[in-house]
Amino acid sequence: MPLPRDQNHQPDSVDHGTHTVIAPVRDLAERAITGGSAKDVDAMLAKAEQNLASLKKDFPEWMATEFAGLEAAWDNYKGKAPGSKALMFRKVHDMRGQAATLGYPLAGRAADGLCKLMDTLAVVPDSVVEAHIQTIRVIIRENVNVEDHPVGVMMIKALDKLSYDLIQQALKARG
Amino acid sequence: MRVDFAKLRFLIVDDSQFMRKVLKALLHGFGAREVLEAEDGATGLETFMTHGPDIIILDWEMPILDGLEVTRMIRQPTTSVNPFAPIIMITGHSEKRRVTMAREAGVTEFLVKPISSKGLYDRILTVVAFPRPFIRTKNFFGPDRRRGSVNNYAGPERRKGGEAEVIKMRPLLEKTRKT
Repeated sequence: MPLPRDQNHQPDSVDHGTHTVIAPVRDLAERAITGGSAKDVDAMLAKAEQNLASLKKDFPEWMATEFAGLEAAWDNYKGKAPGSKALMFRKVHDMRGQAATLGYPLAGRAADGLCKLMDTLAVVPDSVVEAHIQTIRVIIRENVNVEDHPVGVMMIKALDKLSYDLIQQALKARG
Repeated sequence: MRVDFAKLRFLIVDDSQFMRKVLKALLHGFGAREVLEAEDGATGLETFMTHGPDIIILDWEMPILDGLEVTRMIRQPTTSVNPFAPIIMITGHSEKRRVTMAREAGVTEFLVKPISSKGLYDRILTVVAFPRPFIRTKNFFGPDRRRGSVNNYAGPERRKGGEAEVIKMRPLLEKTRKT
């Protein structure tokens, strides 16, 4: 059971006029750092990996749910619903972060490319967004779990080229 | 040296139930017993204020309050229950600009997805065993953003706040020349 933090304890500080440096608060170290060998740490990591492996059977279903959320956000975004751009960005960002953890690294790469475009350009053409969504759809449907899947890699390269051209055009237009 | 996770209380704030499940599975695997969860920034902040977790694991993009806004509120020295609480931001954003934004908000450690057990363990070990000093200026309160001292730094002095002031330093090469 974690111990309650001592709210009255104030760490030492040194005032330098323009800034104050406050000494590191070491209460967590004092409470939770303990002796142990590299073997103990390896055992902890192995147990964590084992827990993660026990979830893996659910990953395809989780990805399908996440993708359904992304598609719904895309429908709203296309329909120009209020607040739909922020939601769309969040869903693409979620896909970018989660896909590799859930075993779909190429879907993560496609989402990463779309995230960067949305972050860089004021407007991303619908056709370009659709191309990214379509790639993610195929990767999930075909259960592409490896990073070097030849067709998957080819699709990602095509998206990268599309994004590169679009950014170059935008830069040119800006002069 | 290792971390005894049973002696720590964690709070996971992530709008994805799946990422919360993954993080919880890893933390329980490390031996953690108390793992609190929140599905958005506002609930996360409320849980933080009520339960005072030792370590916060935070997503960036979330509804209501995002990860940066939650961090800034936790780092309010006058109103927060623990403005020194370590915050580990777990996000898909890997751009340098984003990392800098997170540091400016007061994030302690940054872990880019995909999540690995080793990456998460290492960040937790770092915040527990090697806590950084905190810096308070007119417009910043949070962990020291400098990882080490640079003797020939010639950029703006951010700690002074307000107007940036350039402190000119002799280049190292010049210093090593015999006069």
